[in-house]
Amino acid sequence: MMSLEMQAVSVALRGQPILKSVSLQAQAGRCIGIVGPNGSGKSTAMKVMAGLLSPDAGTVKVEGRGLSGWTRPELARHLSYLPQNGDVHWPLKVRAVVALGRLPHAAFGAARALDDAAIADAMERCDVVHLAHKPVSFLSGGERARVLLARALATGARVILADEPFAQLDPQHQIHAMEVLKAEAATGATVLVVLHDLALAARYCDRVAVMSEGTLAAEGLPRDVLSSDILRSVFGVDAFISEHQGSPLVLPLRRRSDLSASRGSWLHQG
Amino acid sequence: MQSPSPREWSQAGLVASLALALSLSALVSLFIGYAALPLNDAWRGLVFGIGVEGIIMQDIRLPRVLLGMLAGAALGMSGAALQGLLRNPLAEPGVMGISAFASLGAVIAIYFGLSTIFAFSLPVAAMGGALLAAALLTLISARQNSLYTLVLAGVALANLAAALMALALNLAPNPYAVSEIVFWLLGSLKDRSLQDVMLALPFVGAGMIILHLTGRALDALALGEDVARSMAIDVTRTGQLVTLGVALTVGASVAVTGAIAFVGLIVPHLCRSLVGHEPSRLLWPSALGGALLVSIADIAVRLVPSGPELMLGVFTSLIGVPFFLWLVFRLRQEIS
Repeated sequence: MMSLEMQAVSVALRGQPILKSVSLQAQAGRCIGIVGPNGSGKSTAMKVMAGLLSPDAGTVKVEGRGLSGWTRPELARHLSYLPQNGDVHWPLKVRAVVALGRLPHAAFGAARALDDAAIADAMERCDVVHLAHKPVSFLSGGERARVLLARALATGARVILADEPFAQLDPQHQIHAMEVLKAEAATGATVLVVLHDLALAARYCDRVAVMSEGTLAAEGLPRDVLSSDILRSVFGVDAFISEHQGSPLVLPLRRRSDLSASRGSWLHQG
Repeated sequence: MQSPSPREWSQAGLVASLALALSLSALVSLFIGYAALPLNDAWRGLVFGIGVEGIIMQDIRLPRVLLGMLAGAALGMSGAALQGLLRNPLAEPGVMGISAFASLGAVIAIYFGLSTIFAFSLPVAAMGGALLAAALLTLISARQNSLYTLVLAGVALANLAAALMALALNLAPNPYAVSEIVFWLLGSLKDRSLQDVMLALPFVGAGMIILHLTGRALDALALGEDVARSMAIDVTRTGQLVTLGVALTVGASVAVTGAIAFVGLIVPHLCRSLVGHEPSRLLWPSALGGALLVSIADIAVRLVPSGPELMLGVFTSLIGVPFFLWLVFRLRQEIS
């Protein structure tokens, strides 16, 4: 049984089709990367899977159960969602932010100790223990991203949906964060992560889904999916593809001028 | 925002300290007044209610003290809850026109003579006004949640309410009604009775309980609406509860004291530096702090040697406006 499943999901926002009959499956214990150009529908797909956006057509199933078969608190304990550019609206202390991850558990009395353990563990894994008493407004973008990841992990959810969480991290912490997610998957969790960095997707994800203009262009093992053909047709780039220690190495080289002309959004990427 | 302080007050510690300070200021307030009463007589008057001392203590000073605490608690807690909901440190019932709309509702009740027919129509009309303004603001923030849009919308609402009240005064048939309305609008605790306390208490109490229930949801909202919803928080319902709670507390307190502005702005801000920024930790300290601030302000207006007594609402605005400007200035610096 699939841990998370999207079947023929279509979404239109303000009459504009964003997702066109997308089907995607994720197995427990796997880390799945979702890549694709800006505006290809990655974030929308994440919101649909998190139950934050109801699709116009199609179904989403978590552990074989349709989303309507879950109560909200039940789903919140099972699935945690980490949005793109996560805001923190008040200068909360780092530990307080991570502790919010335990909110769906609403623990009292003895269960509080369980909360404390989960919070401490998540902070440890994301390397933010030393920041515990700092207000988030004092942190760098990278530190803040790690704090928000720790919040998502503290829930102890079995499905983790992370929407481009590491764009602001430096290479060392990007790798660290991917390793954290991968370790989470190794414990049996299902991890879906939207990435812009194709090299990270190739190196760390068990499977990669490529989205293009609201459809799923390809899905499979990184070595199969991140091929020069797909990179050229979906991203409009030529890439250097090689192999390093058994995993594929992808390095986008140059923009394809013939394709970029027809792809307005691509021009803004710089 | 705040420099990281090594020592932070626990919420319980702050609540206890505020409660202690509040009892002290209530005591001081009880023994201050225009009639010079020796401490001994005042005490006897308060407890036994016999003679002139009894009238002064039980019918004049006690209602004044209780009403000040009630109104202050209502305003402080509403300010904290509104700021949490809108994620905007400038949100406040007075600044955002909610108090003004409550006043408008009350003026309408006075104007049409409803309040003389049925006493509860005054708080009910004020709460209706407050509910209308709070609902409008919540709707606006759902469409565009920027720091300044909301404040500007609040200013627009406050002006609209002021214009409508001016219209009511303009058309008022009776000059005495005009002066009564004007003085009442300025906000004061003078010449209130225990009946006023009983009129506001049930609504303020119910409103505060409703606001208390939203605490955890307000914490979750600090991470944005999507994350809050993903953590099983019903964001729409939270908005409705805060709107209702603010309308009940502010409406009922404005109905009996008039508009006392800026309490809901100053108090949560001061509490933040002591217990941190989590909205749920601010609700009760802000209620107690609001009660303390109004009760101290009411002591101050009686001690200031002005001819006729300085109106309480005027006094809090005189302190509040510079504070508001300073806050706006500081937030601007943070954004840029």
